[in-house]
Amino acid sequence: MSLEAGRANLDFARKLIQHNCWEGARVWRLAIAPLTDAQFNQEVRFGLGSIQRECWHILENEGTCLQRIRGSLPDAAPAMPVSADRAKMQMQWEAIHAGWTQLASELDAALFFSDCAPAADGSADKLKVWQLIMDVIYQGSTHRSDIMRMVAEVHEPPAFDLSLMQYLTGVFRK
Amino acid sequence: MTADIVKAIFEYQTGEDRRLWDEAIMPLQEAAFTVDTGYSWGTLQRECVHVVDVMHASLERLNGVKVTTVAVTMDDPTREQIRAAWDRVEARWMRYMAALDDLTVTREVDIVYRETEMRTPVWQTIFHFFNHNTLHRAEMRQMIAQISGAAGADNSFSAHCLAKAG
Repeated sequence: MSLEAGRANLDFARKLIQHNCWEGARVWRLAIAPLTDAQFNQEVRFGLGSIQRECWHILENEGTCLQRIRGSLPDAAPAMPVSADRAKMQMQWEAIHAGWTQLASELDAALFFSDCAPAADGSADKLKVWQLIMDVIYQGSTHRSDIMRMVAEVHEPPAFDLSLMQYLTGVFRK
Repeated sequence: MTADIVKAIFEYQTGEDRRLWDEAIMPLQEAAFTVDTGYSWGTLQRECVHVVDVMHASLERLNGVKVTTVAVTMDDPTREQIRAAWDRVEARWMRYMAALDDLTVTREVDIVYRETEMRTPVWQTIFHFFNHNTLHRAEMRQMIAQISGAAGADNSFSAHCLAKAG
């Protein structure tokens, strides 16, 4: 790590991780929790095709990337459950978010600019920790946007906006 | 070092914006651009105008300008007119990014957000622009899937980084 990297201000990365966890939990609580199981599993014609698959994809990506950042080879990708067990999925997600919250509190330049462990398929891709963090941030935003639209389609439009700026400033749309 | 990371994410974001325009929006029939999908801004036209206006407003804030203008001034703009406005705003962002350094990323600026005056670090407005475009690219792909059946998806940031590394 260079002297320059050692002086890097990582407030932005910590805040982005915290926002990702906060927004994920908010979408779960306010948009997903009110759904019936049938709505949660209902097929739609965009994104990954259902809210269940969107949630599973985010959960899997966040879990795998966290393992790679922590330096361990990720577990083989878990199979998609035949029937949705939302309670179990929520518990897994909360555990993963606890891991990410811990990472945000420990994040320093040495970790931020270090190499992460290779992917599950054994490919020796050379990604840095900061690159995987940003992967999780932007995949999270993309798939939460899809979930919001899916909830509107199978139930009713959620009564809140997704917005990083609202989270950072505390100024929310009334 | 922090500025280098911001610039790398900016390159990813603008690349995904252009891919969406070139591969998903421009091939549509002209009439599809104004089909009301019943969600968010309704039409691709209004969605695109909203996004480029926020890109414009974000940059004005960073330059210390009280935002009183919009990027698209026409009442019923065509795709080509919005794309031209988008390209102009993106070019201004590129000039801003070329001059960005580590000190500027964390410097605080006075902004007005949702009619509230506040002092925030520069990175917050930059990452707001990144996050906002990401959310709306997804919404545009949802609209395009509804209108034409196929819309593709954003490339992940890690795939972008691996492709760049060769």
